[in-house]
Amino acid sequence: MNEQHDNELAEQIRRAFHAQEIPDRPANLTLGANENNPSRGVTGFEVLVPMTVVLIGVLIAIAIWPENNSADRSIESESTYQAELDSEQSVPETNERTPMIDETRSMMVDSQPTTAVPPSESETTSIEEENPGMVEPDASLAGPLRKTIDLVNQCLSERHWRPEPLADRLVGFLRGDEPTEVQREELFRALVAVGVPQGVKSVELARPEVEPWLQEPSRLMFQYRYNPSGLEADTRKFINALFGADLFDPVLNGIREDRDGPRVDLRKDFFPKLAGQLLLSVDRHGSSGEERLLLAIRLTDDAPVRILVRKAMLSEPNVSTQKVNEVTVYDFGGTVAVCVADGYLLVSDVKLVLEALRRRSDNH
Amino acid sequence: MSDDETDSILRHADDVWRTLYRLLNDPDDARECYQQTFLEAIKLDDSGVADWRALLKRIATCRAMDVLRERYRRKQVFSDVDVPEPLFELPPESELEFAELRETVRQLLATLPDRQAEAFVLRHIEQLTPAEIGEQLGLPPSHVRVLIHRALKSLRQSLPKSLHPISTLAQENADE
Repeated sequence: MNEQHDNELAEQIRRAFHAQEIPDRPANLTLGANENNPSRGVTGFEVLVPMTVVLIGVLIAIAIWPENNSADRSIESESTYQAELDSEQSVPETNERTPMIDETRSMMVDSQPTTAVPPSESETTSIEEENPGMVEPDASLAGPLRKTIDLVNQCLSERHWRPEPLADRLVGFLRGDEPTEVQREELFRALVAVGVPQGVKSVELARPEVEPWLQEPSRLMFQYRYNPSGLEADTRKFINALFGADLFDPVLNGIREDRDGPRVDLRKDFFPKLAGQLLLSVDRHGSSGEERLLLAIRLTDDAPVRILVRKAMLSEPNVSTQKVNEVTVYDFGGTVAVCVADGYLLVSDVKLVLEALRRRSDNH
Repeated sequence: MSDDETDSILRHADDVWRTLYRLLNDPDDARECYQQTFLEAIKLDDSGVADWRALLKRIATCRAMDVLRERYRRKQVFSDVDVPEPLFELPPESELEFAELRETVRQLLATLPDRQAEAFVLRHIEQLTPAEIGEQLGLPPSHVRVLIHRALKSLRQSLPKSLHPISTLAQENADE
């Protein structure tokens, strides 16, 4: 008798639960973070912000430390820093700077044998030597980039870091064709704008050796080379100084171990996979001349970074995805898009990323 | 886990959502458990997974049961639980009875041993077979049947008479 009752009861319960109306799965629910209540579940604040802080830290560390010898660039007292600045400002711009720049560049080229064509002496130009007093910053040409660099500089100054000349990191200029004189002047003006307030001291012209789909003749392309072996340490130093606390390691540990997080290991799957080359493509867009940036970070190994990006993006509720020839593009509401393709981690607005991937498809 | 493998588990997204919503009847809780379910799944060593659908339902059920236990532990007083179930297209009386039955079952499931509750939900709400459940729980089907039987017995004994099937009540009255 009880068995029959149990069967009927089970059937009654089944009917009751299946009679319940269930709303459709929300369209924006990727992995279900609770958008209305950020304190519940994994949210962008818990996952994406630490990830973003680390990645921005990486980019800034790449841009700031020429040889990744950050031990020599520890936090200095404000007075020392100011004294050095004053000293530098009092020295007239002369050829005396060139050996230091050449030495730096030589170290970078030596440490990065796989990057674009090593520049010859004839390809190297000192802006300040060739264009004394005639180069005016062109704020319109590199607005977003300058704002970024200014922001970084301001941040560093406020934290008593000694800002290193951005130009020391800029060792390559790539574009589809050999630049004309007009284009060269335009480039110099752009670089001066970019370099403010640190100043750009030299430019090396190199033939493009990046993948064709990353090249766009109408764009200016800047190439940074860096030594990836010290990047994690530099990023740690920068982030800890920026926040005034030892945050870097706890953040990385949290990203790796938090049961509600993406559980990705940036130490294992990100830092060692960076190849020491960063491409920055700048173009003017539309009638307004608005500039758009595309970052292409060279990787030594696609697969772990692709999985890492995928896991991180799956934790974010506001990301939509689309595929272009088997490459998944993660789009943050049409503003920023990320993808991994052919050895590059691409970061830009979604249109630029899609344009690049379509060129890639055409080339294939 | 590769992109394709992740895509393959995401194909069951709607199934997971329905499982969670059915058990929880709360969109925020369902969203939270949905996320946890997939995060847990994509972190698994997927080499031995033969049935992603069953595995995802099992994970979703576990997460939902965690929420139900927490939900009713906070409320503590069984009889004070509100049952603000919305009315839908079913006749009002049936829907009210169903809503009351669902809510009472949720509360009772939260008091059962974990495995009994999981086995019951997977069998009688999610309609998996004892063999499929056994594979997910690492138990032989016969053991699963025992768990389900115990769960049903507890439910039968704890459910108010008014929520028992009418035929059962009639039979009991006849026996008396």
